[in-house]
Amino acid sequence: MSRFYEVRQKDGAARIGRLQLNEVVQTPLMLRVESLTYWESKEGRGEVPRGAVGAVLLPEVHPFFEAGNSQSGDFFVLAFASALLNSPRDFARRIVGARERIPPDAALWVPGVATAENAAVLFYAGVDLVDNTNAVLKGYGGIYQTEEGEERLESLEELPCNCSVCSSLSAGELRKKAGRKRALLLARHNTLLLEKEVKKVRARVRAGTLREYVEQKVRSSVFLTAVLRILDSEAEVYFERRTPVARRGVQLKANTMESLKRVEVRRFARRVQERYEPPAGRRVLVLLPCSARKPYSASQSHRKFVEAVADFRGCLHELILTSPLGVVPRELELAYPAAFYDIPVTGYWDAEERAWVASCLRAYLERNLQNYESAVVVAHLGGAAREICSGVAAELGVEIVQTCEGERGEEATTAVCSKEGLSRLKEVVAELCGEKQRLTGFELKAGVVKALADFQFGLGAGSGLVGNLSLKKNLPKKKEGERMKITGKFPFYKLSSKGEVLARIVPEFGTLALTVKGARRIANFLSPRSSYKVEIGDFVPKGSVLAPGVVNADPEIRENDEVVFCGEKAFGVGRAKMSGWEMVESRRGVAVQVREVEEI
Amino acid sequence: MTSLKNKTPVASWLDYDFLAEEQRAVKCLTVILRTRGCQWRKCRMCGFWHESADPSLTQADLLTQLEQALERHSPDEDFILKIFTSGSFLDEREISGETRRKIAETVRRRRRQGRTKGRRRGGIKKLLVETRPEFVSEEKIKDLEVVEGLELAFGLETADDFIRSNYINKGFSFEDFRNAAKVAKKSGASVKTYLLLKPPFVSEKKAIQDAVKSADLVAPYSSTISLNLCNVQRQTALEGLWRRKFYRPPWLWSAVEVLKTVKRKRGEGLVLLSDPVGGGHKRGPHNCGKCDAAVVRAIKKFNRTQDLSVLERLDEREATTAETAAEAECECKGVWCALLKFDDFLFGSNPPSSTLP
Repeated sequence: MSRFYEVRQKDGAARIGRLQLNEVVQTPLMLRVESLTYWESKEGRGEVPRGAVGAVLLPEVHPFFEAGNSQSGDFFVLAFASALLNSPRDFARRIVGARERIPPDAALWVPGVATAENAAVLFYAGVDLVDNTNAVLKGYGGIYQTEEGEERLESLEELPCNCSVCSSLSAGELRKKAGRKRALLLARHNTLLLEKEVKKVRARVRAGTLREYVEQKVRSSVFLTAVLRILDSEAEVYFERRTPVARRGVQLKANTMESLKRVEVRRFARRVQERYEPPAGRRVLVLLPCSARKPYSASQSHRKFVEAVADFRGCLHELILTSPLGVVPRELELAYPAAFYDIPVTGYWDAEERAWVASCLRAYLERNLQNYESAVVVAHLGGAAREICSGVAAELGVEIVQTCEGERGEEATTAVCSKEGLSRLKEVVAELCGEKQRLTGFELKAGVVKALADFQFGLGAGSGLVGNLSLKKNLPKKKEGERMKITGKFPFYKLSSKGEVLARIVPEFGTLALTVKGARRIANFLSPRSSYKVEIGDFVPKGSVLAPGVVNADPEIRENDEVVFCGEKAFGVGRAKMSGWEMVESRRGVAVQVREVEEI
Repeated sequence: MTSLKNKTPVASWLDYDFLAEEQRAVKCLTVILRTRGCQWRKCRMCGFWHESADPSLTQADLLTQLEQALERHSPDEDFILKIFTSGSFLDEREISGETRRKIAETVRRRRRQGRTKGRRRGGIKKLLVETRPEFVSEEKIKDLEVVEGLELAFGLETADDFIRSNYINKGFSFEDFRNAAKVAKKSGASVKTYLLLKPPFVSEKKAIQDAVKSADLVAPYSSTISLNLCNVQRQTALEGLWRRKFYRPPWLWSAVEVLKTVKRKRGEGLVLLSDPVGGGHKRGPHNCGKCDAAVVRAIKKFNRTQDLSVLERLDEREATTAETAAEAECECKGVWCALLKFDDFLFGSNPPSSTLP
């Protein structure tokens, strides 16, 4: 149980927390080894005065290693931490292993190894505390550390830094200082540099963009790049359990090949597979290219596509092919991260990108193609997207009509947005659809709300909330007033029934927020495996539900998920501020931010 | 049929050792007999038992091995004979009572100066044998009282039972050692005690503290203390730890520190030695790479002279002559000092030295 540490904000496995030492400090933190004091308590545990209690995590090779999880302590120290520098795999495994042995609301201290170069990766992997021991020792050894590595002082022509040490003297002057003095100055520079790096990481965690920073930081080192790749491939579950389902207004920048492996990307693709079904009664599938502007509908190019096929939209279904997300059904264009990503567009797609997007398209077609009356797929794509699509179609034996000419390397956007391209699209669609059928405003909006509900809560939630759309035409009226209404301009849709709001889209997060009424409506439709339910104690929460108040929680819940909470005295809805398993295992911190609550 | 390997000792060589009785270095012949090897074989850092003989070994082979070493290396002045096995000299499973007595007889015959094949050869003035304490008895010691000076050597490693049993896995206690030392003393033999600097899982600073404290505790029972600087032998548990960076051999500065502290306290009453095996190599005790050779030289010189100033000179900030310049304090001494200062907060972490050339 943690009494003196509290996690305030998270970004994946990295966290901002408050630790009570002699004073309250913020993690990620660099401890100054010169200022630490130490004594052993009777139980033999290391203790920092007046506040946090620490415990030591021994490696499996140690005679006193105990298997299993450690529970007591505000912070845990990873003993023999230098072993993680043995190999990138050890680096990744030792940190992830340590983190998984201790409670989520305890801090993890990895002593003696942090540098300005590796700190971001340490924190990204789940470390909370580092120290400047390495910085000081390197300084004493005549090593000048930089953000990207280290240099011997003798080899430096100039000091590439502006810290108080480096701005006060030149490389030559520093070299000429007497041994002890020089060592202290170097240690000071190294320490300041590390401290600056820690501040940068804290800013990135607050902004929710640590992943982008880490992808950039690891480039300086083969070792660290390998660490990131190993974390992506071997610790996927570890990070998935800690990564929010949405981030408020944060752009995901897919600048590197590692971006394809991001939890957000993989999770989106998986959910399109598992939690999405195309609207019923659409005859033709149309594949479209992505746009730089998000949501796609707001872009020039998509307005043109929509305009071209407007007369037939009621009987066709739009699917956007994009890297790194794979395929984005039109109804999910507002979801995170579909409306929140950016990627350098050059017309060149590398092999891995192609393979990934192709696999997403293939999976989608295999699962959903039988839902469309027409077995012919229309592809309004250029360049690499066009090639990928042809490849997958050939593989699956699916007939495909390409509506854009233009070879690889040519300006694809001109082709897809060209008059000829658009009129060919219209022609082909008209031919395949037969009679004109426009999409009603309600159908369009309801499709979005339903798809988002399914995407967030699992298949079934959408029809539970909105009603069965495919039957709507046959049963236009039930009782007066039972009719669903969706009001609001794109993308601020609001779903209501009998004058009461059930749910609304929150475009900043790309999520659907429920009201208590809406929650009650879908509760029966949620599968027991992913109920998004938080069981709370015998109280009525006000602003937030704190972790100790949680009795049980659906382990599927992730930060920023919409959740339903219920207890003996209250039923309500809110936004999760930690994962479901963390709510159960933590003793401190906000579990759910309450939006609406009803006393029972 | 016994193999050629079994007729050859593991190693034998001639060098100098400080003889307390004469307060000077004298020639010393070391023989490591290839026996069937140590019965215990569980110490984390020890790979000596890999050098055991083939199963066909006969007791006669052992005598052949000793003869061969004496033949090859006997100096023409009086010398010390040190007999090690890759286990215990007094373990009858390695060396039978009869062989022991025959070895004693060989030594007795050679205690006076003499001639072999017309060549002058020195007499054996002192015999040293190493054994685990559990094999010591008055009776066995009596067998060996063939030269004036008999010394029994024990690899106690540390006076701390906790470290010895948990981190080294030595399998005997300080009490066992003390009893064996008492028996030795009662039988007129002197005692040499080996201490291990930096066993696995012990940090640099705690290793120094442990060695100094151990020296204090074993001094009353020992005429010589030899500080073994832990090195990483092949196919040992320690090697596994070292490979995965759970272990770094001690700094040579730590060895210097222990030798200085102990010698200052004990003075001439105690012979203090340390053979820096593997000194300057990554598997052995090492500093930064620049000063290692100079420090190793100083330690070896100290062994021969027992002169503290040899070690103290390493600390001199300003070198006065070109010769001492190399031995003067290196930049890495500051790193080592800081390492000790921050020891409490490293939790066993061995901060990496620079990867730069």
